[in-house]
Formats: sequence, structure tokens, C-alpha cells
Amino acid sequence: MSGFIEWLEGLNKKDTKVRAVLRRSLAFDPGAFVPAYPYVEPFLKGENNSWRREMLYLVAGLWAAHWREGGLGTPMTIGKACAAHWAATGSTSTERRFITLLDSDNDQLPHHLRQMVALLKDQPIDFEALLTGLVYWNDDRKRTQNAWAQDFYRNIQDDMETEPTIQEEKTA
Amino acid sequence: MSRFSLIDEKWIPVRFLDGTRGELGIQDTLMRAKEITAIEDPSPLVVAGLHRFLLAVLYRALEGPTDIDQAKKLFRDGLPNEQITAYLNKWRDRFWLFDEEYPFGQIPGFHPKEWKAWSKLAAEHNADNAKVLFDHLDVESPGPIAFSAAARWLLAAQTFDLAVAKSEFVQPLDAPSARAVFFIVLGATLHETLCLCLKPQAKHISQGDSALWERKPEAVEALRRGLRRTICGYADLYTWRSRTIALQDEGCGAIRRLGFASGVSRTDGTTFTDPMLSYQENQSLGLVPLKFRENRDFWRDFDSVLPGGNSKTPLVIENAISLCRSEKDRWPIGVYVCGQKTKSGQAKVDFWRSTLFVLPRALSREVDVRSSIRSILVATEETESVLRSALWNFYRFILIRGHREKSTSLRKEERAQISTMADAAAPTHIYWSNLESAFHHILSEYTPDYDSEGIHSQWLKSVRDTLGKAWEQHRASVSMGDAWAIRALVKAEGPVRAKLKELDEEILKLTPAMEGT
Repeated sequence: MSGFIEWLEGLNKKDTKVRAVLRRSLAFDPGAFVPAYPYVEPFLKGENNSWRREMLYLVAGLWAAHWREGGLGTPMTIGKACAAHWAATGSTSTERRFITLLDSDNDQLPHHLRQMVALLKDQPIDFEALLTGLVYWNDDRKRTQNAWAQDFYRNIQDDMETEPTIQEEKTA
Repeated sequence: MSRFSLIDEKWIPVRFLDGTRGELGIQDTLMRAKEITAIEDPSPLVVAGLHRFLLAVLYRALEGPTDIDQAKKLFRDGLPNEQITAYLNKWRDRFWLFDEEYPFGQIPGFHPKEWKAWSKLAAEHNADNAKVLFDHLDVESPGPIAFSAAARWLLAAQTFDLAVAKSEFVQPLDAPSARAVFFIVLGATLHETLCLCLKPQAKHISQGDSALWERKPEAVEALRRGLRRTICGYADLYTWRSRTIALQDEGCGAIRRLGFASGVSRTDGTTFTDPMLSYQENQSLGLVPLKFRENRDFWRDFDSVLPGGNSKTPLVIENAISLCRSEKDRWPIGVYVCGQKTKSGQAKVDFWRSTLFVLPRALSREVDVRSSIRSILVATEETESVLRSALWNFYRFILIRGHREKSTSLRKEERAQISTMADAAAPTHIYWSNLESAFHHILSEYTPDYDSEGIHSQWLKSVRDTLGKAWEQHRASVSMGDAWAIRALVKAEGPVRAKLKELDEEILKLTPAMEGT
């Protein structure tokens, strides 16, 4: 999947309609909006894994919705971007939204991801990494969800406390 | 008619040098001690009881050793067979398991109000004191046991029986060392084991000492009233009559029932150091024997039994070190640590245990091995406290969410619940069990020319690897959970990652720089 965002950026330079079409595709199930096909299918090159196909369409839409002229800075993983958003806004709902996203099943995922990316409008997002994570969303060991959680919690203000009650073991 | 001579009949379970097993009487066990590797029995209590019994025979037969030179001579030249044979012949009529006047370890003329099942002797089966898990013996009618097994259990009961409220005599007390951890230094053969454990006692004490069989059995009436006396020597201690016992011979060649009541108690206020025990200083009680602890395996305190600290090293270990300083090629193969964990103040056995530890060879030189071992154990405990703290936080974040996540807002019962979950968590058990086997290995690294920093570095690597493995297994087990579980995991693991980094740095400091780089 490497190079997909580069591919979209290339298209975007040539054709101003690209982002508008892909943005619109977010209103449909991933891969169900036919006008988006010309921009994604050539990259897919006959890929027949339906989940991969859907995630490419989803990320294409999210990229388009999030795109800003000149970019926003060095792209971050979704977890880091959420942490940066929390730090910047102090919004208490950020974590809850993030937790909801992590617990999303295949049907819920596009919706929660759209909401999250909309929330992160001021944060630069690494869409290539996002795509890689989404491809492995259904991994048995939830590697993507764990990695995103690590990115998030390791980058927020650490409020860890040590255990307050380590009891001394008594001699019998 | 006298029956079943403990001197000649086969009842002591042994393993020979060629790996075969068998049972021998006292005479053959002592005469063939150089052909025997070890005394072996499924119950560590029986093993300890048999060692103490054989040592008592030797103390009395040899009338010593009374000093280290005598002990060294026995170790070097072997046991004097003629002397032992002569002694056994002299007291031959006191070693019959059944005899009208001198039934071994029992009180003739004791007719209990109630005959009890033989299982009363065996802590493994004793339903009075402890209902043992997985024991399906019918204690009302347990079936017969052979004389040989009865003799073995009789010694174990006299060594380990605990105080209970019920007795047709006065309330019995614990056997003198019943609740303590026992240390038996093992040599390559039983001969070496016995010599290593045969701690010399001063001549005047040795002369006043006596063994159970050398004395006329106490009168039933005296025992009924609660007989007390002081311990007068190692043989006396090792054959202490903690209980009044009468095995019932039904003439079928086996034992089904017995009489069982309180025996002789120690006089209050007298202290006598048991050579097989380690003692620790207690502010209010003085020196108290080291005991097994429920949630703490013994190896975590192994340094406390080595010479050089505040606690008192078992005399058998000190003796073994003294003997082997001049004969380094006969260094003990290890220390057998056994005993029972009991409920404090109750006659309940939680478990009994036996483990073999390497006795560091570096002790043959007069160097401070104890401090080095102490330092690796301290590092182990500190690392575990980080792991436990992380687990505690993990369960805190699982159970409590939102604004009450600050630990100061937790209720007492919530703290207790979280602590219980952290205590039961698998990573702690993985941590301790993995490091226990590593610890046995590291003890063998303490050779006479050991490198303290090298051992420390090697140990820290084990600690780091085990911590990493334990946490990774925990991570693997919860990372498939919901987002809250993943969140708890990530939030809690910070200290573990920091500790792993700290250990890496310490290991690096201890690793000598490669020459030429």
C-alpha cells in the first residue's frame, strides 16, 4: 500500500476535482461511490481483497477531507495526533472518542474515523500509517489498536501514580 | 514377643550410588553409608525425621564428635563400623517396634480411651488438623500400613506434630522444631551427609546427652499430668518424645490403629539451638527459627542462612563449611531445605516443601558471599515491586474509570480488591518461578574465584529478561481485550518500560568494555 498518499497528491496536482470527489465518497460506504473509482482503482491494480479495497477508499476520502493547502506540519500517527489535540484543546471528550474508535467493529469504523479526522482538522496526520493500521484492523492480536493506544497514551501528560499500598509481607 | 527390629528389618528408604532404590535397617544403612546416595521418601517430613534419627544414633554410638578435629577425622576416615555395631548390639532390645517393655518410640502400657486411625501420624492424611486437598484416604478406616511405614511416620510425627486442643492427656505443645525450616547438608554419599550434619557438641554436653531408646519409657501417669524437662543434647533433641504413641499390633503384620496423646514438653524458658535450623533476631521474642512463608518462596531469603549476617546460620551449614575448607573436592552437593508451613498459632499445615540449594563453593574461602547474594536478591525484589505496581495500576484502570482514577479517590475496599487482583496476576508468578530456577543456577557460579560484578551483571540480565517476558505475556493476554483493557495496559506499563531501561543501563555499566574498542 506504500505510496498511496503520494499517488493521491500526484492526482491532486493534475486535477482539482479529485479532492471534491473523494471527499464526497465519505458519504457512502467505502468503495461504493462510483465517481471515485478512476482515482483509486488504477492504484489497486486488481487487488481483490475486499477489506483492503475498502480501506483504500476510506483513507482516500479522509485524506481529501483533511487536506490543507501547504499542509499542517510533520505528519503524526492517529494516536499522536489525538494526544496533540487533547493537549491543545483540553477537551475531555477526546479520550472517550478515541476509546470508541478503538472499539469500533468493521461497520462502525468508517463513521468513527470520519468523526475523529474531522476533530483533528488542525493536526497533521500520517495517512500512509493510518492506511497500514487499518489494513490490519482485524488482526487477532489487535496490533493496530494496541499501537494506536500506545501512541496516544505515551504522548499525553502522564498522570501515573505508583501503587499507594504495597503491603509489607508479614512473617508467619 | 518382640517383633520388627529397626536394626535389621528393612524400613529406611534409600537410593544407592547405582541409582537403584531399596530399604535397609539401621545397621545396614550406617554400615553401607558410602554406597548410599541419599535417603528418599515422598514426604520431606519423613526424610528430615530419618536424618535426625540416624544422627542421634551416631551421636550416641560415637559419643561425639566433641570437637572439629574429631568431626574431620570421621569425615576423612569414615564411620567406625565396629563402634556402631557394638552400640547397636548393646541397645538391641530397645529397637523393637513391638516389645512389651521397650516398644520403639512408644509408651508401653498406654491404653487410650479411643484407638485412632494410623493416619493420625501422617500430616498428609491427618483429618484432625488439616483436610488435605486431593487426599482421598478414609480417615475412619484407612486400611493397614506396613510396620516399616509406621516406623517412618512415627519418627516424622515425633519431629513435626503440632499442638492441638484435643488430647486425653494435657494439651500437647508443638514438637520442639515443628514449625521451622530444616536444613540438611547433603554430601555425595549418605556417609558424607551424616558427617556434614554431625555438628560437634561439647564433651560435657555430649556426656549428659541421651537418646529416646536409652531411657526407660516415661510412666503413663506422669505423661497424663504433663511431663516437662529440658533438652540435654542433640541426640535428645533429635529423638524428642513429642507425643505418647502406642501402635496397635493386630497380628496381621500391619498397623491400623494407634493410641495418640501428648508427650513430653520442654521446660518453659529454656532455649536450645537446633543445628538444622536458622534463627533470626526478633525484638520481643529473641532468636526465633526461620519459617516458611505463604506468599514468599524461601529462596528469596536465601542470603539469611549464609554466614556473616544478623541471623544465625544453621550449625550444620557452618559445620559443613568447616569440614570442607580443607577438603574442597568433597564440597557438599547442596543443602536440602524442607519443612512444613503452618498457620501461626494453629495446628494447621498449609503445605510442606523440600528444595535442594547449591551451597556456594566460594564459602570455602572466607569471603563475604552473603552480601553479594543479598545484593542480587534486593535487585530482584525492587524490580518485582515495579512489576507489581504496574499490575496494580492496570487493575485500577480496569476497575475504576473516569474522574475517580486518582488513587486518592479510591475506597478502602476498592484498594483491597485491586491488591488481590494484582497478587493473583500471572506475571508475578511467572517472574518468581522463572527467577527461582535462575537463582539455583547462579548459586553454582559462586566458585572460589568468582567474579562478583560478572555474577551481578548476569543476574540483572536474568531479571531484565524475566521482567520483559512476564510483562509481554501479560500484554499478549490482555491486548486482545476491549479498548479499555488496552488503555489500562498502556497507561500502566510506563514504570515497567522505565525499569527495563534502567536495568539495561546497569548491565552496560557492569559489562567490561571490549579490549581494543
